[in-house]
Amino acid sequence: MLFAAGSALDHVMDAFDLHILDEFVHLSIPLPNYHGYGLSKYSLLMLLAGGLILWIYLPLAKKIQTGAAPTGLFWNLFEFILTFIRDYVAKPYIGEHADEYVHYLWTAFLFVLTCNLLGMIPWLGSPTASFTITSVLAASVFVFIHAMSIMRFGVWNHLKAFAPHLELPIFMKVPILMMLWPIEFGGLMLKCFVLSVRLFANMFAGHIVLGTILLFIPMVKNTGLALESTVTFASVAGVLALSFLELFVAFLQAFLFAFLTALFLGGVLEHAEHAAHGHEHNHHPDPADAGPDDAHLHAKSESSGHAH
Amino acid sequence: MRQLGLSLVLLLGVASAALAAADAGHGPPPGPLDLRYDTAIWAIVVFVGLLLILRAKAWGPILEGLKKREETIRSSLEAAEKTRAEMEKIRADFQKELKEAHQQIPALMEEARRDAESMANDMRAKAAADIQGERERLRHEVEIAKDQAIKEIWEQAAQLATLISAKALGRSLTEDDHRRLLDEAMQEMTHVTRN
Repeated sequence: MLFAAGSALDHVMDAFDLHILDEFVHLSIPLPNYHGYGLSKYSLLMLLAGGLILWIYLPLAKKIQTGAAPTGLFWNLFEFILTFIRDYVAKPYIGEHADEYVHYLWTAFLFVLTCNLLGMIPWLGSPTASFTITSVLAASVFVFIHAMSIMRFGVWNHLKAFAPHLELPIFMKVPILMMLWPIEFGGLMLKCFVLSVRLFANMFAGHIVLGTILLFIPMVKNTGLALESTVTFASVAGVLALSFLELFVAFLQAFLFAFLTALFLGGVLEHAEHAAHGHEHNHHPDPADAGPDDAHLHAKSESSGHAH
Repeated sequence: MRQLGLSLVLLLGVASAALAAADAGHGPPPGPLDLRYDTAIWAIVVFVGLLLILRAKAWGPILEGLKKREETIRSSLEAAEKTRAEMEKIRADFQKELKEAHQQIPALMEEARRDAESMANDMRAKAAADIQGERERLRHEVEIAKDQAIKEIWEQAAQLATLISAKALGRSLTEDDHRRLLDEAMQEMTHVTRN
């Protein structure tokens, strides 16, 4: 059989050695580490992902800077990714100042997407199947949202963005706000945490499912040619089919990450702006609940979260 | 923007320190759910580094290019729209002129016909006048020629009469007789012709 038992799951785990072609030549390249701390496989893959993005977009930037019409598959494809995020994610959900924040969305989307897609290449893996890495990404979203809001509206207005506007007498308003403000602030924190869990769970679970299906093959080892060939065929066909799903999920999760970041940022910025310019506009009581679009997206993300 | 990058690095550093504190520090292989200090540092370095490099070298120029292109497209569309409107106006003017010209054609034709008619009439009248003049002149000449001829006839008739009368009388009259006779005859003749 192709796989030794357990090795299929090893492919979705972080490690301190690279197994390239190990099913055939048992080639193991050790990575530098000190007592289990150092450059792990996923760290190396993150570097690879970053390098790939730079390799693609640095030359492309020079072409796009000219303002000329895009030509060729390379230019059109990679520019489309950027214009898609800018026109369908940043502009509708952040508003007129979207171009100031689209840098982060582009970087986050491309980094998550590349990390997700690296898992589709044999012997590599998805760094986004590590909770540490998705947590760092989600933490960067949290920091980014606060930093942008503070830079634009100042600390006080930013903090006021988390205080719902209440038409109540002051003696009732103060204690209620003292209870509500931590909840609102913690709500954003929780949303970012869920962002990390969603990405991690989708990427990790997808690989686990693929690995598990492949593990059926060693399970039927030495049970006769008929069963072995049937199970092998069914497993390989199943993995092939689910790999297409994985490919789709890789794009979907990267999109959702960027989309939700834009949504959360847009919500906080809107409320900070209300705090800065008075309450002349309609006020949403919940800073992170930015209306029907938000609810719609939550339904969408939750359903995709249960995809695996 | 530089301060933004710095603040991001600092805050992510704090976040990663918190992650590291949560890490129990066990050896490999790292589990997928473990919060690992080293992996977090790598993730921060790679992601923030990527963000800063792309922001400086790629996203800025790309955004600039995209805006430039949008501007080009917008201005091209506006120019095309303007040209189209101008063409439409020129076409409408031309159509109007053409229509006016069409309307003028019958009037022009009528005028030309009138001109031709009056010219023909003038020519006809002039020709008629010419002919009339010529006729008058000819009649006058004929009149003169006739008078001349009559005068010559009278003279010759007088001579002839003198000759005949001389022969008949058988004698020569004097010159004065002749003259007297002739004058009498002439007066008689004239008198007769006048009557």
